[in-house]
Amino acid sequence: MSSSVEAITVLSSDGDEFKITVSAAKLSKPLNWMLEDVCFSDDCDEVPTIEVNSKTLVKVIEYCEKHAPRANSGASDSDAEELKKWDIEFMKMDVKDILFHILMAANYLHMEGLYDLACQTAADLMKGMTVSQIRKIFHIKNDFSSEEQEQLRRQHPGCSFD
Amino acid sequence: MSDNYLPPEIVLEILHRLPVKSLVKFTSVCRAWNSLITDRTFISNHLNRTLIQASNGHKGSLFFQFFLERNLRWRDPPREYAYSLYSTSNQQTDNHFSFERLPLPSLFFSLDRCAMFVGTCNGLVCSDYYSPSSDSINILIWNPLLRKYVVVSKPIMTLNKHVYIRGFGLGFDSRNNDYKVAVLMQFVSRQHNDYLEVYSLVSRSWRSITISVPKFFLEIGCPPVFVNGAMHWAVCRKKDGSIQRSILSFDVTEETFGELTLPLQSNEESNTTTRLLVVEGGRWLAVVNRLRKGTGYLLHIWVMKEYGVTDSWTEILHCDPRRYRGRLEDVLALTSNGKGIMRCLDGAIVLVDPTKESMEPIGHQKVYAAYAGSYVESLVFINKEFDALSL
Repeated sequence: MSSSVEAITVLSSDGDEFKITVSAAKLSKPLNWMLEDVCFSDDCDEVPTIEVNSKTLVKVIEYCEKHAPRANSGASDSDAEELKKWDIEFMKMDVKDILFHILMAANYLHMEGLYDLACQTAADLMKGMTVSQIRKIFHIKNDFSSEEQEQLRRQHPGCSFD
Repeated sequence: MSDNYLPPEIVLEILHRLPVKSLVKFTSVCRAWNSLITDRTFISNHLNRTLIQASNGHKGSLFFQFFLERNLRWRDPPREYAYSLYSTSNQQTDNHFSFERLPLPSLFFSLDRCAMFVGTCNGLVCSDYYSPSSDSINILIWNPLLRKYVVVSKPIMTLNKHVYIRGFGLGFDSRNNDYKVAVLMQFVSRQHNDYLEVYSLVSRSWRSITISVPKFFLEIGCPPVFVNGAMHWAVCRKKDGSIQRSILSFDVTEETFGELTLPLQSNEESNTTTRLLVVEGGRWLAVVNRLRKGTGYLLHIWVMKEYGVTDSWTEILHCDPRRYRGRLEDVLALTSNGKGIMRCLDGAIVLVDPTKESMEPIGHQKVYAAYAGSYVESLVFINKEFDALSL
């Protein structure tokens, strides 16, 4: 492994090129393997493709670059606090448009921290949603009859279904 | 990954992080989600996740029964003021503390006396109601958030005038995934041996426990606390002419007794009363000692930071109640960040921060007695019928 390499180039599924620093790429196991396998010989001209679209990959790389220093060296409490605030800002995004893609990317790239953060963000957004909003964002068809739905309401009188 | 259909394993991961009320609502999204949310494995994984967060100081809360009338007697017919039930939410990050009112099952109002809450475990609460007309005990295990409950059959041993005290408790047997109610009975005559019966929700029956109960006197009016897989009672015994206090434990899975030593100070002082105290999140065992001093008394609160290790008793709060405005009368519970929820002489409920020697009122002004238990949200009983009397 050559120590002179500080950043590598990767391709998104849309074919766009992105740069990611080696320390940031280490947050993902598959990316790390990719680095070791492919890109550390100086004459390597092969650019690895990551099966994540450009829009999502930008966000994933942004997350990695922000979290890499802390993941590699540990951090003080004030840093952790600052990072928490950054995460909250970072996660302010549209559910269907981008959050679901981040979830899938974090899952595919084995990024535990981002996956956990994205799952929690999705849960926080969903908890206030109505049943029909949930059906819409998850592309779910209502397969209950109206009698069954009425029965469900009767079973859980303490809970709002709207 | 061109579309945005989430794979089922990711959907499951997200659902595990949703609060109970949202999950109940989402049982009506579609059949698949309904079966997923009401599945035993899901219920248990969701609960375990909540319990881990509660033990880390998040998501743990408390259950309260407040009695809002000064001269309430147990013989009185049940009325709203005896059943003021609340859970708390304590967001550590913004230091916000709030009470949420819980609805009552209608069954309670058909009783001829008040039911008393005696135990909490995994989001379930257990109430005990004694009927003088049939001379029997009625026990209810209830999920207040889902408003679903189970009525427990009558214990084998009938209550009679020979029974001096009975200690109830609710616990969870993690090996058999079973909720158990234990009843410990002591008799007026010390010639009768103490007696213990256990009810299993899986087998739906009572069993007498054959091992003998260690010789102790239960402290009156002190419901057991379920921590670390065991119920705990504050007890005392006479030894060499003096009273020795300790904690009796009953392991709900192994069905064995044990004894825990109290912090040193509480044993040395003879003019002390000791009560077990509930800690938010249910992670720790805590005691409150009331040490008489002159015409007043001092309060000392200890927490056992490492279960079973006597040296780990740590004093987290001691105060002279008269130094606080309104005069602190009773310690109800401890929050996970070490604040005391206390009742003042005038019935106000306050949150006391021992590090700042400060107190703030939280919600209630006229509470004359209270039961507190540690509480977490859970989906246990979601498959039961609402307000159903039978299993």
